[in-house]
Amino acid sequence: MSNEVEETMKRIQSHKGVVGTIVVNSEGIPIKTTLDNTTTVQYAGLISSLADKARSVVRDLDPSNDLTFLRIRSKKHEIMVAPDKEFILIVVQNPTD
Amino acid sequence: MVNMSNMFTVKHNECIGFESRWKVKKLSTDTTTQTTEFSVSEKACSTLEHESKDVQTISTETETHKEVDMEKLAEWLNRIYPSVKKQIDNVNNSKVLKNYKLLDDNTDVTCKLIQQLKVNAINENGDKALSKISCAIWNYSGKCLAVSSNFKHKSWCYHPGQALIYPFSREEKLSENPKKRLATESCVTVLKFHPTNDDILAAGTFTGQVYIWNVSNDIDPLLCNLSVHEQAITQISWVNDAENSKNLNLATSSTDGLLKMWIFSNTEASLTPKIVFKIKPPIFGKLNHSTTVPISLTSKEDLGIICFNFSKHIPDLFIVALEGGLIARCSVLGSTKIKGPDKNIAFDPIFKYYQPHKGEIASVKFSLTHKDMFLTCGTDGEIRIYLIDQDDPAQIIFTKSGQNDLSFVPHEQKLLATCGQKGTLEVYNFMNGKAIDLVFNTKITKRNLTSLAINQKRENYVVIGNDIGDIQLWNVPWNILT
Repeated sequence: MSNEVEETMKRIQSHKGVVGTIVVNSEGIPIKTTLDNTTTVQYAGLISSLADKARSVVRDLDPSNDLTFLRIRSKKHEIMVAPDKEFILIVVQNPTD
Repeated sequence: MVNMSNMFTVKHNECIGFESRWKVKKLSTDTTTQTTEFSVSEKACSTLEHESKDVQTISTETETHKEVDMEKLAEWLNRIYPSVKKQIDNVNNSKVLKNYKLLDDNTDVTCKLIQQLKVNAINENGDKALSKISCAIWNYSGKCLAVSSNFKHKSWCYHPGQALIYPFSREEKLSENPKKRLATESCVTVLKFHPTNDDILAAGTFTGQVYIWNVSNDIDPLLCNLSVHEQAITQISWVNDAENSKNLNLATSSTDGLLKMWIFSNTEASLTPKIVFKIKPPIFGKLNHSTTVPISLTSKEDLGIICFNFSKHIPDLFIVALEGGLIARCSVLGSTKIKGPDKNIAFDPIFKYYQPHKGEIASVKFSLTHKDMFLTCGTDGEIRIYLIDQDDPAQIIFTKSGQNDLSFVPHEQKLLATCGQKGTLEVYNFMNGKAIDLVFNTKITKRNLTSLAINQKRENYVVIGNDIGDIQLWNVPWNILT
């Protein structure tokens, strides 16, 4: 099964502009990554707490609503977050000019 | 007789009463006046940086590894993949934010000259004299710069050499005078700081000697000194061991055509030989016919090594640039023993040759992000991008003047900084091959630039050395250039 996970991550990684992919569990601990250790730990901790906050904002605004996707555009990167109950997928992308 | 009645008169005054005041209370108020504001401020100054480290020898926490349900994860990834794919494609195809700039974005694209220092070498007579900067390099924490300079040599070098250490202060300036002068017997050609131990500096000299110093040791900084090559050392580098990537070896190359690997022990302060590679030129003409390199050089039996670079991604793989513009792909593990006397055991690491440059190569560097890509630049004014499996360059950037040094810009994947005969820093976007115009805050005398070093921690700070012994500290706004 681990192979299948890596296969899917490779597929995401092969997309144009994708710099790295991280899978984080609900506690913010990285499970799978294509980035180096330090970057992974930093992204995992910060992005998972941001995703939690974003989710609670969406739910507070409308209790029947939920967060499905989070995109963060910065000067250098575009960070895409797919949150779920048990896992969070983080994709870091270099936007094309 | 005196009339007595005139002498005495009686006068009656009216009685006046007054209130008794003995019981009246006295009222008083206290007032104080402060004429000037009074304030006390205390400031403490520490000239030395203090760092304290604690070591916890016994682990107080027991690590808990939570089992991850891979089946669940795989199923979830498969489920969300289509939507992730859609989002990635959206980002790639979206032009919403094209040319978008923040209102308060700092658009000052000027490169600022912070400082210019003169580095004087010592000539044969022991006098200070002008010489070219042969190497300038930052240590990995970016707090210290090592500089060496040398003279032009026709044959052998008789100059006493030196490596100078300049601390980089918190005010983001180099100290006016070097903190340390490390003496060598001849001119220093190359320098390299250890990638993990900031205090260890290795140097190679024109006469083939290697020096390793501990720059934090004030009394006796020299750790070891060994004569390792018969000719000038052209490059020195700390490289990961191909068999065990945790170990670091020292690699040296020389114009004698050999690339040698050494095991350095910090505790024993020793350098022991590991392997010797002999880079043999190709038998059949791989040299470019339109080459500007003298025929006498190209017909030499053993071509000298100008520079080399080991891949960060594949520790076994390295690229070597030879005299005459030749570029060879080499392998540590795939090398074969060359027949010859036992005392001179050497290995042939060549895997294949690439299409050569038309002039001498100045620098070769593997891409930090693309594992199968490397770049070369040379005196022929070409920056070439090669893919490791392709003989011909994938892209050539034609520059108007010869290049002497090349560096990738940290955190800017598309940028490449070079310096050379143009006399100013040059920046290229190597993805589209275009030069980026730079604006300088001051007019500088254009000299042939020989060395370029970007601070790895404070990447906006760039040091450039020229051929008359000047080092310039520049502040370059890389993020705005992209």
